[in-house]
Amino acid sequence: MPNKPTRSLTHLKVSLLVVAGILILAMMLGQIVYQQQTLLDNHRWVVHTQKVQETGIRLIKFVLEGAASVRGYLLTGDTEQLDIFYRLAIELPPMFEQLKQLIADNPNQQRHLDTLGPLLQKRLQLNVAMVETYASLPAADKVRMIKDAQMLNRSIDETIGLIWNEERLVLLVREEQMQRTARQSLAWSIAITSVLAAIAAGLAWSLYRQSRGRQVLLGELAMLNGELENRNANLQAANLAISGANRSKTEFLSAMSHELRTPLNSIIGFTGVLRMGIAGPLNEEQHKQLDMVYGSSQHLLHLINDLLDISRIESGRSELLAEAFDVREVVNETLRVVLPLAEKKHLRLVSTCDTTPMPVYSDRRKVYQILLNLVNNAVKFSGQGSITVGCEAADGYWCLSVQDHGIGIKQEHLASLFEAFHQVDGSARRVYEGTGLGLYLSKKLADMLGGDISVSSEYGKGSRFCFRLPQNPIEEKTS
Amino acid sequence: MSTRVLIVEDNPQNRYLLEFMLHSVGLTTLSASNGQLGLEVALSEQPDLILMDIQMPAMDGYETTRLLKQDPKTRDIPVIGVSSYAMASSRKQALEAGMVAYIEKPLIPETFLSQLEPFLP
Repeated sequence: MPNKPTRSLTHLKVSLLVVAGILILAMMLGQIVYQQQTLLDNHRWVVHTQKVQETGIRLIKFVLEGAASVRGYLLTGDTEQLDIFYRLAIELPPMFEQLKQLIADNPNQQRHLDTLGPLLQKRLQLNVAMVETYASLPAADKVRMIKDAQMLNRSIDETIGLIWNEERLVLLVREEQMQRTARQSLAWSIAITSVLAAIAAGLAWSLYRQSRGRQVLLGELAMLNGELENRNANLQAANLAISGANRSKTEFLSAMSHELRTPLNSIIGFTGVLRMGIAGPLNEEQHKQLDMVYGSSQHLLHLINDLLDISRIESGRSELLAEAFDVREVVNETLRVVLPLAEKKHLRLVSTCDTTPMPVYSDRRKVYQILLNLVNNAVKFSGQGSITVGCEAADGYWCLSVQDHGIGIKQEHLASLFEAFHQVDGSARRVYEGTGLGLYLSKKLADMLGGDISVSSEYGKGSRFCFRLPQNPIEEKTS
Repeated sequence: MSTRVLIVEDNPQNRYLLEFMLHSVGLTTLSASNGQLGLEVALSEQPDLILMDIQMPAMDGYETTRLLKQDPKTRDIPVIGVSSYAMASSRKQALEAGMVAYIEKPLIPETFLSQLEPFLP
């Protein structure tokens, strides 16, 4: 599933996008704040310029009003007319000072002020001279004085006009600047809005794609889940069928072995009776043939018994009947039972188990069954020499070994040795009669007892089987 | 009067085998081919020993033995189970039903008669 890499890639993409967006936004915000600041500055300057112009106009108006007040007094002789004349003398210097401060930054205006200052001074002096001396002056002086006054007024008016003009120019520049800044600000605003919109669109697209991908994945998941559920249901049905079939198989085998025993009972029974001569004497050929019937029926009985045992073990219905006994007794019993067959084949049976007691708490019948099978096999597959049953203690187990000098087993056949109906090859099967279930059953029995069976063999030289049985001494079990 | 053994067995061949072996040592036999008949013969003939098959039609050997043991007139006749049921639990069930011994089929003629001996008068 490509789920994980896609997710981490998407994460990276989104993170990069967010970081870039934040950076761009911060830059743009900074730009806008800067422009707003510029705009405000410009506005302040515009206001400042207007203030300068207004002050200039007030100043000239005031000067002219002062002149008018003096003229009024000279014409009427009314001292009340001198009110503005006095005020002018007092208020004009501070007004000039205010103007001076307002335009202190502009060298051009400074020059105009240098002209204006003396002119205003002169005008104030002329006013005082006119009020004090005008009446006593000869007519020619009066005319000159009035002309001077007119000249002065015009000069003042012109100078203030220059100052006003200068400010007007400055105002034009500043207004232009303001407009430019405003335009820029607008452009930046549009840009930032566009970028924000783009980022939003990008995020929306990315989210959309993610949700699409997720939906696809969810769909797939739902499909897989469905399949899994189907499979589970099928498996359950199959399991039920299998366990049912297994049960039927076991029941069938169990019933079958019982049904087979009934006719086998009369075959073995009558064969035995005939061989015993109870029903009358037999000739040699009849005896020989009857022995063959007997052998075959015994073989059949073993097969049925093994089948029954296996079906019991596989169905879990085989019971363990544990008791305390000495393994050596079972070894001796086994050797006793197998001895006639071994003697018939001129084989020697050797046991090395006699020295120390071998207490165990286990199922005696099953131990006997396993050992009998192993020793029987050794006798069956040996043509000469001896068969040695050995006993050792190792790691909490009794190791019962059965060593023969028979035909041995090829390496490639060792692995499948413990499978059902497996005798290493067909020819061996014909010569060495057996059920083909012996080792399979022995292995299963050994498992039940908590032990195991292993084998080592050299082809043509013989085999060594080792049956390991847990010791579990009586003291441990009963306590 | 010679010792009489009742054989309750549904399979004719196996019944004949038992009869033949018992006759060969001079015992008298009575036969019944199912549990119901076995009960009737046991009650009327009062045999010395009963050989009881387990799996039979109508009434099996366990049930027949239980009924024999409930009736005071047949209670004291020893019953030996003879069956091809080879499970350990079958033996246990047989003893619980009141049988004195349980012999697995197939019978071994050489040893069979000696297995009966302890229960003969």
